[in-house]
Amino acid sequence: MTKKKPLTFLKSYVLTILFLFLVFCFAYPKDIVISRDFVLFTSKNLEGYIKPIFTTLEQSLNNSLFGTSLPDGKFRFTLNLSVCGMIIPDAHKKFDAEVPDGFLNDSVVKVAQIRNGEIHRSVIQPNIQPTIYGASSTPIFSAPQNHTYPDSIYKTIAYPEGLHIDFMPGLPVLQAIVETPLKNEIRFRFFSLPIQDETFAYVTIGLNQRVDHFFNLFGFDKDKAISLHFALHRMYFGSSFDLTSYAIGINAMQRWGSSLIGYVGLQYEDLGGKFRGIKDTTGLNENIINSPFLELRQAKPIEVSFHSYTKFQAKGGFTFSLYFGFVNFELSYASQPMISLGFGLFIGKGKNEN
Amino acid sequence: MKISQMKFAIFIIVSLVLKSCYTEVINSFQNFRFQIPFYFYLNYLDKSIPDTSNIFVNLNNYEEFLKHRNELSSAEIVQFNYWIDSLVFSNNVPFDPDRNSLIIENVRFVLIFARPKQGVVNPKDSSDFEEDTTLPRFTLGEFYNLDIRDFYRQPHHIKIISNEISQVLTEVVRSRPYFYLSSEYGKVLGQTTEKKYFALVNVRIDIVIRFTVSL
Repeated sequence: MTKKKPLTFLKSYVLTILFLFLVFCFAYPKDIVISRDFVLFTSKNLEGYIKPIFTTLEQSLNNSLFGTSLPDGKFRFTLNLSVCGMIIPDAHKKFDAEVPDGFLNDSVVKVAQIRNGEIHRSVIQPNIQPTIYGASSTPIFSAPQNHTYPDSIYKTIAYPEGLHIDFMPGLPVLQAIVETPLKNEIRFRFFSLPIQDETFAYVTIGLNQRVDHFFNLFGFDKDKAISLHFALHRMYFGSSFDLTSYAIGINAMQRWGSSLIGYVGLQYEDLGGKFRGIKDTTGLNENIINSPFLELRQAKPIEVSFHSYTKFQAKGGFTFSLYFGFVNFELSYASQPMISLGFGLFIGKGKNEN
Repeated sequence: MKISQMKFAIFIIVSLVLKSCYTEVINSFQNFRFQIPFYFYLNYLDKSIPDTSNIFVNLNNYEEFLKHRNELSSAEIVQFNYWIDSLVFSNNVPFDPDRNSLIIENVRFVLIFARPKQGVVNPKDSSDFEEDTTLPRFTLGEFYNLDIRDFYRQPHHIKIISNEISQVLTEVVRSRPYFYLSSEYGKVLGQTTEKKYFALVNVRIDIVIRFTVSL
């Protein structure tokens, strides 16, 4: 009886994993149509503006992939909620923004801008403008030297501004953790929300597999463990937004008594995704878009690739087990240093009670 | 498998406490700030100075303003810029910055808020408006001994606008997005006649306004 239950669970998990991989394989993004009046961003500027928020997203997705329990082969089902927050470094508050091509040609336009109270009479390279976490932007004034098209199109430009954010909470993680007799933990997250006619969906599959016993690294010491962990995340909204992230790493644990676990870990992670939106070009020839950016003038599609500054994370933390669950505290060194707090709730009987 | 009531209660309480941590950030994300340049072309024929002229600005005629008007939570004038695009003397000879020298003793730009004239329900053009005398006038920029050569198609005379003006604009712009830009020109340096005439003067004023919209 005690053996049959976990196996039934494993079976359903295998089926779930298979289903999710099918979702991964067959959900392809399609283009959506955007009004061509959307002229606040070129593709490159939108990409730079939002890059740090995707770093925050990536780090929070790849949070709480290990460290909540020492996998010792006993079956347990846990519901885990983790929250995290990132300190936003100054480097993530600004980016090198695109300027119209004509701004670099002195015979086409004369430009000027104020930076730190000083007037500059040329385009400063790099053209530092705020990201979504940053502060105020700097307009660039432009006086065309020739009043006929196309020179006359190179007019003064301004940029969107940031939200003055120094500390950013990450996406909260709500996940189910299943410890199996194979001395591993399988993590599963799923969230779906219908918004208007589309569906936002988020799914994660994670595996933390203990490996030290394969090599008998710690002999009879059952309070130490070394594991490899891996996680794959997929997030999409209808057919317009698609994001994939993964993490792979190694972690080591030490248990003291029956309640306290300390751990450290290293992980490599990445994030990729794309957004593509086609501009509505109906009547474009009659109704010219008055923008110095060629991309906006020609109503070219917005194509944004999602990137993250973070590739590596070094993590360390403690987990304290209680009779109903656990509390977990973790610090991470990454491009956005991160602090994380987690709570777990044992569903059914805990290991110690077994 | 059963979840005890106490475990469930602990989980719900912890979730609610954590949720409050996110409220502040979600609130900050509800506001989006961006700057938009507004371009004003002041074209004069047979312009004489000293002189004061007004142009009427109705932000409702600007698409970028209209798009965000309903969600607008603040509007601040950030920077102001002025330059001469073209100038032709009264003898129809164009000003040449390499050969000609022309200095105007003083030029001042003033922002004057406007309101619809009493009794006008649907104001359409500038004739339906008058100066709003309940609000003070604000000087956007003032230049002394303005050397036209240095202002001729040169955009480096940037004025940063004080918070005082910006705050008034924020309060006014949602209900009355109308104002006058008044240009006051003094004499030409060495001018002996009462008036000096120019066949054509094209002036550019660019004003950058920061909008905050609540999403």
